[in-house]
Amino acid sequence: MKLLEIEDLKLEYKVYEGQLKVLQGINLALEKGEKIGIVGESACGKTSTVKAALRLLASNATVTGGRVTYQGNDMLSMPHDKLVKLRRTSMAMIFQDPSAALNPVFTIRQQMFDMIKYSTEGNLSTKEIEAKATGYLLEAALPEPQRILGSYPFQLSGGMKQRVNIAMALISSNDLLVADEPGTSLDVTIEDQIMKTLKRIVDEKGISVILISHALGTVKNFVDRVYVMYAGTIVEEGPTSRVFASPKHPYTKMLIDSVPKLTGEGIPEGILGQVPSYLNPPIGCRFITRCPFKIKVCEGDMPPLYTVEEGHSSACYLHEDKQ
Amino acid sequence: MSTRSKMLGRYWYKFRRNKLSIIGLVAIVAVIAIALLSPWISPYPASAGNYVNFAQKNLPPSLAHPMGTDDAGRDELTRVMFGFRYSLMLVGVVLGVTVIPGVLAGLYAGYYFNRWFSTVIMQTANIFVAVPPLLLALSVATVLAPTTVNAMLAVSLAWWPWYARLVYSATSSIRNEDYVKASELAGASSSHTIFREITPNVLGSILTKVSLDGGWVILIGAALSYVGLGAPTPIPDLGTMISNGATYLPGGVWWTTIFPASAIVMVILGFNLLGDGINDMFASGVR
Amino acid sequence: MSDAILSVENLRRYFTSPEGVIKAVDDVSFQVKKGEVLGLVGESGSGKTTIGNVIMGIYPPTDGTITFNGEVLRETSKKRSKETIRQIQMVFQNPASSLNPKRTVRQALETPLKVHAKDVDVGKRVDELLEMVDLPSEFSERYPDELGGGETQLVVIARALATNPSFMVLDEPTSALDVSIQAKIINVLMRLRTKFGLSYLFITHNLSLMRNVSDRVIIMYLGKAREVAPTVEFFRNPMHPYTKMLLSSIPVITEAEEKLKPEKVSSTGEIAGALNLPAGCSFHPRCPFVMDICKKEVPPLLEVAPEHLCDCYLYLENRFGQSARIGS
Repeated sequence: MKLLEIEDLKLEYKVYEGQLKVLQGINLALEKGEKIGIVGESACGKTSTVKAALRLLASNATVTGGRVTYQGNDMLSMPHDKLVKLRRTSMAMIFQDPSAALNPVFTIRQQMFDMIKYSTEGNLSTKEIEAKATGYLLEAALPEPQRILGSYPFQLSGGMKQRVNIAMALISSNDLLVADEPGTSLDVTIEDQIMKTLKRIVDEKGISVILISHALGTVKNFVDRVYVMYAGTIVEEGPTSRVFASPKHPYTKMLIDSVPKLTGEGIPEGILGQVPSYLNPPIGCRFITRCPFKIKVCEGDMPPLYTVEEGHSSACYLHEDKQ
Repeated sequence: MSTRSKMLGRYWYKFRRNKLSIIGLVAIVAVIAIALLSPWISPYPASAGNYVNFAQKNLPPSLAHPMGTDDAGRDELTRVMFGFRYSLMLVGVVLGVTVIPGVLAGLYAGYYFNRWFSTVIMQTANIFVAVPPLLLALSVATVLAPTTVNAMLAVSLAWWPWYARLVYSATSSIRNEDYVKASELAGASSSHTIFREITPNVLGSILTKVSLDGGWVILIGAALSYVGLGAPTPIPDLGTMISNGATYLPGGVWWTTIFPASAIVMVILGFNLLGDGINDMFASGVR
Repeated sequence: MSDAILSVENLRRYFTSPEGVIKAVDDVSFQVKKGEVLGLVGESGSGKTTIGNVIMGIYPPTDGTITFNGEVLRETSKKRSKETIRQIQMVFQNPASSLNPKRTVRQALETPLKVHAKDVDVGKRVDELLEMVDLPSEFSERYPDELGGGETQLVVIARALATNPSFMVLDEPTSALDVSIQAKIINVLMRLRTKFGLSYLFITHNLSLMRNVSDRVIIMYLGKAREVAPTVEFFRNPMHPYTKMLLSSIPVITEAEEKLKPEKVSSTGEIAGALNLPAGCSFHPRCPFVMDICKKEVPPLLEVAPEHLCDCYLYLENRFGQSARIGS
């Protein structure tokens, strides 16, 4: 049984100008122990997809279709108390801003204690909770757990805070960990360390990971499979090495080309044009406004995912005949 | 759609999302309309003045007098309508006198926050903030004559520093935004930066406060007149009306207290809800 | 150097806080040659943004001088002549706060014009500026919240160009933008540089970007310049252990890039707090090649290969001979 399965998910947001038809039938699957990445630029729907699946959406969002199953349970219609139990014991999320998840007026000890207390069955003594908290902090490669526990968030650097977030995520994420741009606001050398620590922990414990990021390089070094999203649709998916070495969808190709290369190939072209408005998105392929390879059929229905090689598919009509 | 009308449309959308704000707007519009039109729409305009008719004294609500009559035989409904006039005049004068100087003080003190006069301005403001407005009004009344004008003067003195503080706080934080730096780096004059760049971004808080203050000024004004510092009789002042009416409460005459009091509640609530709506209008991050 | 448009000498900028003195910029000297793109690279706490701010005159230096076109700059922008202000402009990092949310694009562009070019046809100039950055003229009526991140940055660039500057400080101009848009902005910037003969001080933490954009690179760490070299030489032959650590931590996409990265210098420890700077070389607590002298004496920044400066005792040995091995 897959850990998480998202089938044909559709999502809309209500705003002043009308309805934003963001997600257009997202299909995504995560096996136990697997690490997947969702890659895309801002507002492409990568965070919305995960938030919809975990029922973390804002009040102006409506799921207009699709199914989400977690460990066999239907997530979208799950009663609230069951959802809370799942969140306490099975899943956790790390966010981009390391300060966001930490309450500035409480010490790390106070915050971790609360979390540990609520996510374990039965009563633990203070000593036991302290031992557990120290354990989690050490796992997250924080060298002086006592000092950290006694500190307030503002006394810690960005990198340390993110490690504390990882430690806290370990408390409740026995099965799933979602990391939403975890290294984006950190310095490169710190991000490097954090991602290595995270990888070690999840591999050791067999935790499944969804890594959301717009930084292709970070994703490449971390996940087994990657989903590339554009304007609310999945345009390509496959094993990480294959998608990056041999991208098939025009958007993926152009995206990879847009990143300046260390090998010094000059200033990249970028992708001309704009992401289409979600108010009136194109009926067919949403990349049509910027795609240099568009053909007549692209204006029709949205292209399905065509398999281009084992485990690797691309949602582009160019690949239709390869089926 | 022109940029202007699109912007206004967005403001209105944010405002009307909360039904309560609409109620506030309707209430205040109604109050203003009644206040302006009272000489023409009130049933017994003479009741607002020196009219006495002791035969009609303290009559309960009836068809002829929907809110009853007071202890001098004057129609209560008319007096409440004219009472709105007086209340709004109080609001207009106090806010008209305090808002502009307070805002200007806050802008300058906030923009030049590391200069000496900024400290002077804000510490002066702090001194006035430390004194409760009611107490200040009573003191002024003791020293000068206990008239409406003096009461309003006292309230105004206590009021301006709150605007100065609000605007100072907003200005000193906006001051560090990149777009303000860009304006200075382009060589724009200080007055351009203060009035063209910073002020539009502070406007939201100012307008919200003005609306909420409408309620406060009326409340303080009513409290002052309740203790005898308000308009002299027979001017219809809601606070004085409550005060006079209160003496008859034990005798079962409820209408001379309840109706003016409800009128005050309506106005204050209206200003509060309107203020919430204005706040929503200027809130960023709401699409 | 007669062909330097901007010259920074012994620049220091210290900030005093209740906890102590933060030496954000600690004795930095460099030059920007006419028409060049000088990349200023560093992580947080390196002092790169502070240098940009001091050059612009947002706050004065604690010590040192800045010379522009041969003339010593006055400390803050308010004290500088209109002509100087006109010539030096800046592009900020965060598009969201670079434009006044309550003013249209047109109004934003008019602000510098009204100061420096009063007799010019303002309306026409605004259209000209938008065209220079590839934005349609209808954009002049938009408010910042109707613009995407990339478009906002283009407006910011247009605003900086309004006064016909000769030198621009670009403080992380693309870091907050999506990758596909970054390329567009960089292209516009480079095109404008060629067209108007501009010189840029390009501040960033993105080494891959530097590789393709700058003529020379300076690496900063904790307020000091650690390595300076022409770009190609810099990436071919990185010297300082910190540089190597940086380069080996960059997440890259292609195999070709992976091969180019120096052997993994594992990044250990935190960036030292700016308040409690270690004695001697401020990088020594994290350095895998640390020697005794590194803990005691602050290394000088010297030329150790043609046009290649580095302040690491590993290389200074060559110059000092055995004196670098004091006590080891």
